[in-house]
Amino acid sequence: MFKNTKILSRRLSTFSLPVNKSLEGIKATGENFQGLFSNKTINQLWFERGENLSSNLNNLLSQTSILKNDKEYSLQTIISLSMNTPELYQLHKYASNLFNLNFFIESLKQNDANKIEKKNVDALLETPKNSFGNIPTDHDFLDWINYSFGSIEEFRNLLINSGRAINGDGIVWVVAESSMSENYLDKNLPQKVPRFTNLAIVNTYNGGVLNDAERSGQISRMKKLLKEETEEDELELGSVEEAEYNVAYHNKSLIPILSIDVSPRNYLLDYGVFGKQKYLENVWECIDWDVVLRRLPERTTQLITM
Amino acid sequence: MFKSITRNSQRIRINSRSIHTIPKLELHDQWKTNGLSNLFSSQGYTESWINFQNYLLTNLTLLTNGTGNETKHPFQILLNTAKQSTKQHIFHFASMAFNNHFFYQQLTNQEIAKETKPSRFLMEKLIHQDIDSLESLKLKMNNIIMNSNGQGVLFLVESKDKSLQFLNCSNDGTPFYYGKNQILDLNGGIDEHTFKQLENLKQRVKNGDSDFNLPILAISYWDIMYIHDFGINGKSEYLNKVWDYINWDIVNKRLFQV
Repeated sequence: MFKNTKILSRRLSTFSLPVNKSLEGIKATGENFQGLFSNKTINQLWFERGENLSSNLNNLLSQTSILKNDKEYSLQTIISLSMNTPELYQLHKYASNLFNLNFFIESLKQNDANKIEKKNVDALLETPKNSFGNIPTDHDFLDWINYSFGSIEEFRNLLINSGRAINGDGIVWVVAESSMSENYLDKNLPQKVPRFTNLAIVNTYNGGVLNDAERSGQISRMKKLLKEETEEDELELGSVEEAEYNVAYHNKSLIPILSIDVSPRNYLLDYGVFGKQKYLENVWECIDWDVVLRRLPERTTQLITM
Repeated sequence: MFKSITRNSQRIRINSRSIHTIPKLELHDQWKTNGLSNLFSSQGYTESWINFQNYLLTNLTLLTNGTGNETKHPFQILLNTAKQSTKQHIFHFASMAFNNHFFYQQLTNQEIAKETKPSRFLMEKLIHQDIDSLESLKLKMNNIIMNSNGQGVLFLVESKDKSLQFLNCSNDGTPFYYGKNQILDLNGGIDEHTFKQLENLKQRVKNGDSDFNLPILAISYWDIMYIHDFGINGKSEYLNKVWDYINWDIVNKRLFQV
């Protein structure tokens, strides 16, 4: 699943920004990232911010003792390790922001058919257009999109509107969703292989990460812990909410296949404050579906025989 | 059929209504052409005040058109929508329009700002927060902001007992209602303090507590404040400059006077 991000593995207890060939080229020639970012923006978004994040992360990593020195850690592992530990809040933020940045930029390709343009207030009154290109060509993938969202148009609209609904920093993810929770898999299927039947769209905010299976249940654990301190010996059965919380919908495996960073820093410089819609439309045209397909897990469909 | 529509439409009375427009700042004309020396270029000012405020207010106009909030001010709309879970998309624009205006109201030219300073009354109150000078106030607030993720506004508020508190409102959070302060980020590990704050919040909402906080000072750290002049990673540079442009005469007056 994270084959594409193995470049982020840890060596000598440091992380560095992965080498992205097309972006290195852009940096050297001073050209724009065709169809999406000006040269200035992509330089700051990827190189400056990326280096900033990785150096801050390395700095904090050198001060903690959560890692053993002789082991190699992937960025994903660091994120999971620090997720439940309040003391490592900042470290977790730098790690997840770095991961999110790479995951987003990796799945973009240039497309010179788009125009990068500043929008003015009239953009708020425009009716969004429904003509677009860059439709994925893989037949099976298209079929899965149609199954999950209805049609490619509905999928694109939902994706763009989910992005518009985020007011501050955040990311829209397209994920493959397992139909069973990890708890269920643990108990019922010895091989523990999640089955991915559905594609879905998920928003995360302020450098949140997607697969937060390890995170879920923090609040109820804390509640339990504090309750035990104050009211001992009280026999109490679990509530319905608790049961639902633990079994029904939490810790299902989500595999991200595409992400769009909709934080203001991505569009303010090139599109202006009125240009979020235009930015999102341009991102759609720049999605590299080959990368998305490589991330896609195997699909499970139900076969009903009579 | 067409006829009846025409006839009907003639009968429709056309109501005129007012739309939200950008408040006029005292030094607007000067700032629009020259910016604020080292803080905002004229482009930075145009983007972060004129365009951003216009964006917020136009959206607010579009969302409140034909509703009960149509004739209200952004401040009234934010109070009106803060508690309604189905009106949060309106709350966002109203609250942010207020916050951005509140932030800009306390700014002035560097030369004028230099002549003003926090009143003794204000500094005396700050001592209870272990702040003994303007320098340590800057340090403390800049530190909170540098450790914050994403967009937001850091407020210094005067609470019910007239003591001063810091309120770090994420995104469009408002200092006027505790349920919408948006000070908790539950993305990472959750410690006992955060958990208790969350529980406390639930209890206050249940009890229907009132909120008496009033903002005294606001430092906005939305990307749009610094992205044009200091770049995507220019937050700390911006924070070091912004304090030279605070008109303390205005901030002093916001305190409850005895």
